[in-house]
Amino acid sequence: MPEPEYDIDFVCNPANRDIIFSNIKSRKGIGDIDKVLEYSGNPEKQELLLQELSKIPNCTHPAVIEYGDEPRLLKKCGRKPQFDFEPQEFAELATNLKAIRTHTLGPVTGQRSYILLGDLAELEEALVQYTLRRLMKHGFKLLSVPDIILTKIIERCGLIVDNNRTLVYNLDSHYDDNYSLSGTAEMSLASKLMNTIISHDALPMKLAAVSRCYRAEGSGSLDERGIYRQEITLVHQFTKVEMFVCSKPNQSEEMFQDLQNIQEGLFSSLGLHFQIMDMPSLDLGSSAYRKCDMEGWMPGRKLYGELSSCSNCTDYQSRRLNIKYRTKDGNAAHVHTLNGTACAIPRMLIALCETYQTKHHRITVPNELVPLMKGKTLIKKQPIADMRTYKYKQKLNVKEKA
Amino acid sequence: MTYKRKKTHRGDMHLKKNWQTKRRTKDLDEIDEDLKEENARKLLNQEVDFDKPGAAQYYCVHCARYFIDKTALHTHFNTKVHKRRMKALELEPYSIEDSERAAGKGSYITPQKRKIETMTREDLDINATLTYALKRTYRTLICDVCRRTSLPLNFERDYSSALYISGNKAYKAFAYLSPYLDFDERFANVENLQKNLALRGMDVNVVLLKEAWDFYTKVVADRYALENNNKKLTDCMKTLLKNTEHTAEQQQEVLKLRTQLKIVRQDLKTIKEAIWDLDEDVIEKVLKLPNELDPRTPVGEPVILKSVGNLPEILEKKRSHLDVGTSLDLLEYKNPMCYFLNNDAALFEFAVLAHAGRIFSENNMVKIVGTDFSRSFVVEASGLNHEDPMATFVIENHNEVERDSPNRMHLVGGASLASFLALHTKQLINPKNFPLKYFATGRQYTPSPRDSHICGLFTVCQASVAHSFIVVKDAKSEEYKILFEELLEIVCRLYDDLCDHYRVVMRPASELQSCEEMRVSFEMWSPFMNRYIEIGHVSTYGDYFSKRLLIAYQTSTGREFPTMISGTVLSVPRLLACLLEQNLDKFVIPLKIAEFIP
Repeated sequence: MPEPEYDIDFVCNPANRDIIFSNIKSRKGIGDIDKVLEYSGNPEKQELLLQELSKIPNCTHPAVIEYGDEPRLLKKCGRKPQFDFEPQEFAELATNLKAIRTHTLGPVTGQRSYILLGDLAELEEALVQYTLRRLMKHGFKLLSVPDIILTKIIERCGLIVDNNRTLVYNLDSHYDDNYSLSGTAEMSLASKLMNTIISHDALPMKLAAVSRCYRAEGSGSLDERGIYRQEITLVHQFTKVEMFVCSKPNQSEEMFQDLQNIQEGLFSSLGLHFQIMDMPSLDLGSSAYRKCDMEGWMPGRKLYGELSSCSNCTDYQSRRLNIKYRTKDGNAAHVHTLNGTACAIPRMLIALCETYQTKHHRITVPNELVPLMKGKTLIKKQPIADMRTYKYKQKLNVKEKA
Repeated sequence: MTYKRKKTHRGDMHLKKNWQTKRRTKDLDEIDEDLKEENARKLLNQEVDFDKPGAAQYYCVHCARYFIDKTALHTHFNTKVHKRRMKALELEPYSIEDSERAAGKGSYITPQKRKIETMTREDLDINATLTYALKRTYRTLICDVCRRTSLPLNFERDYSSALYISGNKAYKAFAYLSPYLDFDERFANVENLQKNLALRGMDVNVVLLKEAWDFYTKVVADRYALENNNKKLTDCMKTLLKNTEHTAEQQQEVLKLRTQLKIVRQDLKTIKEAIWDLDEDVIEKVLKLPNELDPRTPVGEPVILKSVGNLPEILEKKRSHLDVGTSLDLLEYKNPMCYFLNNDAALFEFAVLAHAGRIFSENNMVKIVGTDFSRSFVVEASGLNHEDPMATFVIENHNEVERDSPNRMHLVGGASLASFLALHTKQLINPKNFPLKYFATGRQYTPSPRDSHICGLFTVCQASVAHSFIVVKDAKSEEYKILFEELLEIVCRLYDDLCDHYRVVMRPASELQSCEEMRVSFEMWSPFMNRYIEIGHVSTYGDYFSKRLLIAYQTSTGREFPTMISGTVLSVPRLLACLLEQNLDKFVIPLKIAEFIP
């Protein structure tokens, strides 16, 4: 683990106190600049200083600050599909096709578990394959990354591990170090580049990974469980294709736009209707400098739901994980890191299935995906065995012994 | 010359008080005598004596103390003083006989621990005499059974099953199902079972375990009898009470019934508690018995069923796959928990699973994407020790797991046996849909065992795998064998596309997991390790899982438990490692796999 190299010149300069203070206030209010300044002059409190410094969030893009608390709509793509029947919601649609099982899994594998069956499982693989093909064309390199990573890396990536609310699943303390389940491949990818110096001609470095993601959030209170019982967007485990880019600081804005274009191209080619939102400072994680969400139209539930997001983290992560590049004149400087979701399976499935449902409650396979589904064009009822809950209490056969 | 230290009697008031006999209380051995039923009854039903507190009506036998009223007595039962005393009474007191034995008459007998329960007057009421006697006999019997069964099996004392939750633990953990216990059949052929255990190299005394199980069923039979009795009496009572007017005779009858009911219910309560204790000792142990053995499973040495291709020539230079992989920039290995695949290796991982998926779906197997988490009871049912963090990864902070519950949450991975079992747990399957054939490609997580030798990609904790799962109706049918052979063939077809040389080996009984009846593994040659490495396996499990997890199907006469075939047919990191070691200069993606590269 490297020692984090915070931007001390900027943060510990009392002249910047007001800027940083208002930035913290406009975001989630985590971090205390006054404490940083208090400790900064005091060499004895070095440890406390580092602790406080780690909590200070990234700066915010100047354009975003003006938005206030509301996201700004940047663009609408595609059109809302029209139906001459009442479109069904994903859960109903897929359950009737026997393509998903959620019923009575709770006590066995945890609340909001789901099992994709048959063609829906094939569709997942097709989507991953399709996304990867497009990404490779854009010069991304595929990596295979671990799903269980050190808790420290998650902290360094800007996810504050808070004791009161579990956002991350931790493993039992029996294993040598403190391990947690990664919430996104971004963290594993960043940890791969930890302590490296990249040569300047290798930038921008574009990496992609397919991984399982585990999120503990969103199930704290009981009423939430009630509302979202059927909600597959708020699942705890899913497959995701993630994009991760390291760039020179002056290129990061441009790369950010590139990532957005890639996402836009991907969703448009699948015929989805979606809108691109620039998120306000309140919704930014502590690592993000700017974040854009793509919200897909889900005809069944008649609302826009988040399909993917894309953030520019500038040097927040690279300072904490010691990722540098060698400039032309031979100096080492921190890179800027960016990340974006290329395809988060459950959300994508919901948007696709609801958009492509037919009158007879089946699902047409989008043209682009047909070759990857072995030529299948329509998802019908799946040949899954009928099952029902088996209530049985054994009465031991003891008669002959009695 | 030394002087005696002065002031030797400072601060010894507490000792003096202990020594003085002015208000001497009873010693433990005296109290032990008091606990005998006839003495206890006398003590609990003393004559009114106004010189004693509470007129000698509220006496605690264990602490030899009088209390002023019932509340005081019952509050006392909850105090530490009382509980400490109960604990102290557990051990048999030292007796004259003991001292004689110590002096050389006879040989030493370890003092026994007994279970002591708080005694009240109500307990010893004339009506309840029977109950008390019953309780004592069961207690002693349980002691007996515990002592004898715990020795041979040698399980940890605080082990608690998540699969079978006994009644007194139900407040801690929600019992989603209780497994089907077929141990009458298992114990019917003790010799067979003994042979099975010997072949597997497990040291369990079957005879003692059978005795324990028989005793358990006997107690359960008693319980059923009592339940019947209770029902009969209640019915009688109901019919009698229907009439509002009673003759003197009928009233007598009602009174009699009431007394009887009271006794029966007391007994029922006692017996239930006794069963709870037995549950922990007997059921948890019998549930650890291994599956039966398939007659095809070899006894001593593994049997090679098939060997495809020839062993590649022995290379002069031997390099480990870590070395090769790193130099070709395909692999970055840090430790068993953390490794990255780069470039072609990452593409290979993805493509090989896609290829496996294609082969399975061509053979009418249905793809699923399973859940990565699994509760302890499924893990336990799948034959693993759910309390061992080295058997599966345990999640520490899952918000659905109640505190101290034995039923925790584990990370197993979507392409694992537990994940398939979860899909079917407590389900009644439509018999028309058999056989069920599924597969999954995805992640599998297994901690690396504590003292095992770490060797690169062969022992990583996170792996991409292909897993198959087949459910067949009947274990005795031809279909079961045919489907197993079919699956082997399908997997062979997959390996044909992957490598030139592999072999199919049937593992001997001593290498099987306790849930397996038979295991066939697919092995590839690792030049560096100079031996064959298991890349995948297919096993038969019989109805072991379906009985434990209540997976059944309906028949014309009732319900039957189906039988299962399953296995991780391919583990990508191991495959990759073997391929890397076999060709040191460059990594060639097999032709058939290259099609699937994105």
